[in-house]
Amino acid sequence: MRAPPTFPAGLAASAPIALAYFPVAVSFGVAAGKAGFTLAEAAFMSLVIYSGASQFLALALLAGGAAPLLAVVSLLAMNARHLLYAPALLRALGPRAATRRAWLWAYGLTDEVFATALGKVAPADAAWSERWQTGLSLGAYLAWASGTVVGAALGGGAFERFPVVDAALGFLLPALFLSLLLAMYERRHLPAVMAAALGFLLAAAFWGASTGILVGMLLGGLAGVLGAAGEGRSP
Amino acid sequence: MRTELLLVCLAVGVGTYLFRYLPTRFGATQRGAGEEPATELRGPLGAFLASVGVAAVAALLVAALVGVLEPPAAAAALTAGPLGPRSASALTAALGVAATLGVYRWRRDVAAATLLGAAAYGLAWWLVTGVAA
Repeated sequence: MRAPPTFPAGLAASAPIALAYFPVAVSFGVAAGKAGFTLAEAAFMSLVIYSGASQFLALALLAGGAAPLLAVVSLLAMNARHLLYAPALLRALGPRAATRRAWLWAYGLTDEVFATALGKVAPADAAWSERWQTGLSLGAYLAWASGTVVGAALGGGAFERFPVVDAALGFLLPALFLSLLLAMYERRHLPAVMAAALGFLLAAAFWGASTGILVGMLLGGLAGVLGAAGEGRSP
Repeated sequence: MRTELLLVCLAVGVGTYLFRYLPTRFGATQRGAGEEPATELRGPLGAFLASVGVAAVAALLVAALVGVLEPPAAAAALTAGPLGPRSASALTAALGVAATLGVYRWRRDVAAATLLGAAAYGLAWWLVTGVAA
């Protein structure tokens, strides 16, 4: 087995994630600014929640006046998938696993950090260290936080004198959600996606956008349960 | 900072951190040998949680598209163009969606598709409305 990789090596390995996170975090900051959140509030969300898609959901729910408890439950439901990342990573590491500093590196165990770490440790002789994992987590975290600050500064109306740039910034969110959906989508998700879209349109027509998003999530989740049950029955 | 926002962020932040950290403390590595690591929860709750993320993104996408189609701020500028405001915003949104889809298919990269999709939308908006940058 090779020498354990260092903290700077982990930081370097975070470069592809950081390059992907920064523009998405800028769109988050812009969206937060346009939704009336201050720069400090947007930065606080990115520093404390640090979970991309659920932060956009938080914006939609909080700006739409959803009940705080309902918002917390919905956001945690969306993030529950993170429960699986540390066990999957530690299991892939086998005898190389260490958890003494897990309190530190687990903070940054996002979808992309998890996927990158899993790819790195897939060969049985590949070395891994908690320092490397901390560097990987920190690089991604800094890109997310700094992108948010840049975006929130731009979203506060800096481009009002440039209507074409302002219009393009206004399309960042639809473009982002469409790209995220394409990246996450598998054939088995079709019922969930259809149910979520229809649920949103119906509920939003009566009760507004933030209720529409919650109803869409709920119906989409239920469609996923029904779809999985249907798959279990078929040969 | 608003107290309500602060509390929601703290609750979600602490909860998400515990989701990421606690499994490293509780027998996470003591599974059967040779078993593939689980990447999805099982059972009805697992199926629900596996779909709720993609469902949330789908609902957010429809919400964002509806927002772009009915933009109060841009409506005044859009009426200045040769098309009416409704067909103009539908056309620019369709071009933005097509560009995002095209770039994603080409590069398989969320950041590139988002940025080029938004840029294409801005360009289409400029062509349709004739409002200079």
